[in-house]
Amino acid sequence: MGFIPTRELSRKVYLFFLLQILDVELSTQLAQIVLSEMKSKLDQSEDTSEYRDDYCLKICFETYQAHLKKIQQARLKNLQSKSEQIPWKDHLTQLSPLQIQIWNRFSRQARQDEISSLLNTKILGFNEEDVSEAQGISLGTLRFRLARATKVLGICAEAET
Amino acid sequence: MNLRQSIFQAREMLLDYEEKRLDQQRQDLVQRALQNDSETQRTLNNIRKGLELAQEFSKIQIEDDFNQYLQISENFSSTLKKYSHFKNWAPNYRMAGYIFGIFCSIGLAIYLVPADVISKLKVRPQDEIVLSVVKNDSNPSKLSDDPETRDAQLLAAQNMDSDDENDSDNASSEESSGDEGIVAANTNENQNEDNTPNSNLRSKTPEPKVQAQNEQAKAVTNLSDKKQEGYVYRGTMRISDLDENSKLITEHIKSLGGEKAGEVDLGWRKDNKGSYYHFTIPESHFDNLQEFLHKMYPVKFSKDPHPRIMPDGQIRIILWVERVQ
Repeated sequence: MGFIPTRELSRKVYLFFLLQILDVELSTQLAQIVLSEMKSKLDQSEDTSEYRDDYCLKICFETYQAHLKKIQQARLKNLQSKSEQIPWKDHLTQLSPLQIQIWNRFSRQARQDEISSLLNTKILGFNEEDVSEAQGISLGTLRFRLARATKVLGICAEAET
Repeated sequence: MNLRQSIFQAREMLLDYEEKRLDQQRQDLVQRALQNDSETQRTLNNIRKGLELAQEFSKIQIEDDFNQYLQISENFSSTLKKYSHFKNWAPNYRMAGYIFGIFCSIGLAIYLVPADVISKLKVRPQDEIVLSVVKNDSNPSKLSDDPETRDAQLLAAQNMDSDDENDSDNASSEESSGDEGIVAANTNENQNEDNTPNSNLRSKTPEPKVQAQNEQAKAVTNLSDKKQEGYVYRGTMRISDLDENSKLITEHIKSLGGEKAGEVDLGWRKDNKGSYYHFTIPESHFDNLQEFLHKMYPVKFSKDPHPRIMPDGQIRIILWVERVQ
């Protein structure tokens, strides 16, 4: 039958791109690319339990790098929009407008690698070792970036409230 | 360790402190910094807020319809979007695409470039070249590297412009008295026996000459008319004591102001069968030369037309002194 991505996996992959790019269409496209690539590669292996989080992260980061230019353009365009005009505001109805505003502010103030560290470890729940290996950095570097990102997110939350 | 250093280190460990990952010693350090420094406390509060917010974001769910859309359409739309970018193609297909693009570019260029531009790039027909090649007697590419042989080749080439019948007649009459024989013909004879390049020259040269004359008859006639203005004296001698007499002949020619007119020196020996003289001499001394030579052999000189024109008062002589056994 082949590999079938779970709902949880689809959610993680989609949020990986959405919360970094802040663009619904591009995030959807890239999520589909990642899921199709995972499916095609895991279908070649007979045992579907071969799926691992680090494998998923690796493909996500590779896809991100492959479309970096397009991502940066979309991200810049969305960050420059005002809070009432956030394109993805209505897409995630579980978030309050305040939270979306905080995240927008956080995306403008924090560095991209710090956002990625926080997103992958604290929001998406990936293992820190898997994240550091997929990004090609040491665990200490990841923790350092995570600490800075968490601090900046707290500062943004305090600023918006 | 002073207080400033400890506060700085403590701030870097606040996340680990909040997540309870520190050992007792570091934990005490952070607690001391929190008690003594308000900034450290504020940073810890920010970290706590950030962690809380991250926890809320981790609860985000996506709708089932959208989730199915991600899964169902991934095989078609994602593949289509993925391979819409050339960079996402497989390496083999990408190479094929490059090659196809190159061929298309070449085909398009050929289609768009006007035909007259291409025709201008073509090499001009060779009829213009043949005429000059044929009439160039002293073609260096055909000459031997050996100067002695080269002059004989030049001589053979020059004789090809003269009467061909004389050449063929003299080639057949080896034992004739030779008084009226043309030196070049005998020279060619000897050369044909020994010197292959000369024979090749003889065999090859007439053909392009005939072609050129057939194709460009008027032009050849005009050119040859101009080249008929010069002349050369040719004579043949047959003597027995070649070595001594050759020296005498050479000295006498030089005494009369004679100088070599070709590549070889006066009295050049052709395989010890004879001596070859190709020289210029003042016309006034020609009779003196004939008288001197008549003492050895009743030589008679024939005056043959030749394209090479000598200055006024100078004549050119080709003399072949053959050894008689």
